[in-house]
Amino acid sequence: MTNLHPDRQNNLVSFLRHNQPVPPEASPQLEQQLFASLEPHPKPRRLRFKIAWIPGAIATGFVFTSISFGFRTPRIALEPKDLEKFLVKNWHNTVGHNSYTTTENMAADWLLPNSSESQQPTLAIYAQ
Amino acid sequence: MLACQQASAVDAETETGFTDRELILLCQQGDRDCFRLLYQRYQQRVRSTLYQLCGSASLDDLVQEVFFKAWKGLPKLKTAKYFSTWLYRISWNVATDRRRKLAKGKDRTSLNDDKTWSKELHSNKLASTESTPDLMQLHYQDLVQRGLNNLSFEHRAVLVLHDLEDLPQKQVAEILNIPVGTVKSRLFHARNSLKKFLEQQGISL
Repeated sequence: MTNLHPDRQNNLVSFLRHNQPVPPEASPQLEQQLFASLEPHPKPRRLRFKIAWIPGAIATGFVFTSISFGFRTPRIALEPKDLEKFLVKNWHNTVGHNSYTTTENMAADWLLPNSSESQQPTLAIYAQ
Repeated sequence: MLACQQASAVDAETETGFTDRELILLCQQGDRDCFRLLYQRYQQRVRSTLYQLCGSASLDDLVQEVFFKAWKGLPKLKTAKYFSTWLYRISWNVATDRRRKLAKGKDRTSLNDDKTWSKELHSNKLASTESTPDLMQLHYQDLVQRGLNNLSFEHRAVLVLHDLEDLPQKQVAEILNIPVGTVKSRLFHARNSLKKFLEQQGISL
């Protein structure tokens, strides 16, 4: 096969470009038909997934938090009168006879017996 | 949408309001007006390439198919700077599919149209012009098209993309998904074959 001299190559390319076939004109409706057939792009799946996930996550978190909060936190009386009763009751329980008896028995277990052998009860206050 | 309308209003003819990259990014977000600007920028190149590869038969359909596929595939285009190469690749694929259909005989009327395209060219042009230079150019165009038809489809594609569409060899290799060396080799053989054909028709270069 004959090698083309660069100049002759250039001549050939120049001739081809100067005389390249010209396509016929497009139909006037082509552009309109094309754009009428274009479908909208689908939204990215990752974004839709995130948007749908957020309300569900918030609702789940709210329910979970409500349940946990309800179990852990003891119900406290809101009325001042009820609060006063609660405090008085607990105070009496703390310094009452039952507690005293328990304290006396404990002291007898690990303290050396007292020579005077006084039966004076020991006052103990337990933190609850 | 508003951004593209502004671009269109600024310069409707030359479309210098936005670069290709900006248009592509907006198109990827679903902006049809920006895609229309892209279409108007590239449709002539696509049309010319398809015409030189496949002839005039169903040319409008082929062009429409290329841009329909481009619109559909745009969200997946990773880098906007490759849009031109990517669009030519789509054109090449559409032309290849067209050739396969013709080879299988699914569209015999189109095959006949390909063989008689020069008659169409003559009848359309002669009806409107009588000057000698126009007739000569018409004759040369006819010869170039016939010369291209004589080439194999692969050789023709390389010659059309490189010599007629003025694309660099590296870009032609990317479009056709072949090595640059293969582009050079096919280009060499295509030019030799075409030159021999033209010489046989009385054209000396």
